[in-house]
Amino acid sequence: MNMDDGQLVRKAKTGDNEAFGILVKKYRDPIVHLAFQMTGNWNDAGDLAQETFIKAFQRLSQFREDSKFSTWIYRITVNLSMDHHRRRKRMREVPLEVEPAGQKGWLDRLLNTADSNADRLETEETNRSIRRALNRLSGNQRTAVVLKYFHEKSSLEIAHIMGCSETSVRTHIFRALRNLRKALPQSA
Amino acid sequence: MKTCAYHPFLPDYRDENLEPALRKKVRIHLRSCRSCRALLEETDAVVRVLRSAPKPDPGRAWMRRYHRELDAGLRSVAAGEKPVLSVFAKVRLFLASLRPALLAAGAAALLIVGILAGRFILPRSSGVSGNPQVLLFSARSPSESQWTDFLTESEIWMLAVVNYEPEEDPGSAYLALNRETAENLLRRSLILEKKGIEPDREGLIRFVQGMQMILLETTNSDEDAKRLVSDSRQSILEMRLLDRSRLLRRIVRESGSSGV
Repeated sequence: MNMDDGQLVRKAKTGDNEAFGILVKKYRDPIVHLAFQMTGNWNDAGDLAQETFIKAFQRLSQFREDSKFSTWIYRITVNLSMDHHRRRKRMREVPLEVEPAGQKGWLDRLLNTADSNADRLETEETNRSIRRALNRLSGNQRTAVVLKYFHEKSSLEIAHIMGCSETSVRTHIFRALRNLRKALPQSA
Repeated sequence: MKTCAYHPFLPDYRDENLEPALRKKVRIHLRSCRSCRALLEETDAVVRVLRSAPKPDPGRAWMRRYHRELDAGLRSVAAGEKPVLSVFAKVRLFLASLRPALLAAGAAALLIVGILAGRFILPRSSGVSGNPQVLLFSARSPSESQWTDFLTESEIWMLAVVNYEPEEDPGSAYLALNRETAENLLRRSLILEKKGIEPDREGLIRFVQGMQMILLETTNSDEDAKRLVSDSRQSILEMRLLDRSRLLRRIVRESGSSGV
């Protein structure tokens, strides 16, 4: 069955769960990655992804198809992630992120000794500093950067996903890159 | 750097994502604007770093579990049942309803429980290899409650370390980190490593390795307790040991002692 998203959505709207299943299979990995990039926690990301697809399934009849299915489902994920972020902020949870300051702990060094590999360590360090830098951005700036550079969305698509103008998206990205420049020593 | 009206267009200009007329305008402007040229270079450097990052990878076992849970959740929704929320989602919803003050009270209560567990509840050790209770634990398949107890104890201990504020309470984390508690947890973790958990063996081994390293260091070291707590806290946070422990507790509960 080789159908595009539009055809699958129309079939799913008529109650064809198999068609919806194909859409889920196609988007489940990008969606959980997006949720992770927004929250920084795989368990939260898994929950948010599940919530996204359940919402999409329940509200499919309300999807007017004036945008692509991918835009719509990304929008649901972004909204849920932003809500999640706000909740976390209110709760002031124990931070499970790597502490920004300081060097690698002795345990990390010990565990890495066995299969020490300079490239891998460097990649891990880059990932960690990118995560930390992204965490310091505002919700809108982070969303725009994640969608543009990790999901290769155009400014127009991001505008549809975030529900704002293309000009706002460009401003978010410009400001985010300016902030990231300060936070990412590798870009100096 | 002066702000120029063309600045927001530079990221899309760099990626060749501007419509031709606008692109031409920016190109002409760049010839005369030093600020934009400098910013374009900076943008390029940042974007290169961002794009050099590999895709985040939670591991194959995690992805398989995620696919399974997603499938099950959607099936129950399609069948008209109420979706089954994962334990994490339930806990999150519960915590969301609590105020920070209550959370602080909860953390304090956990700390007290941790100290009591370290002093009174955990079996007393009498040397490196002679604790009968631990040997009994290793001789048969551990029950669900034994697994849960171990993981809960570990979490209490880790929370005590993570929440430790030396200025506020100089003695508390040291109490939670006493040699006896650490030795007991270490021996149990060594036994758990042999048993393994099939549904998440990789996660368990990494968890246990982390625990062992922390506990070995704790039991063998006479170093300054404050530095030790700080190192352990760093390790717990970096390796997300609390997350791992909670995940394992969920697996144990869901699979029951037979599946372990």
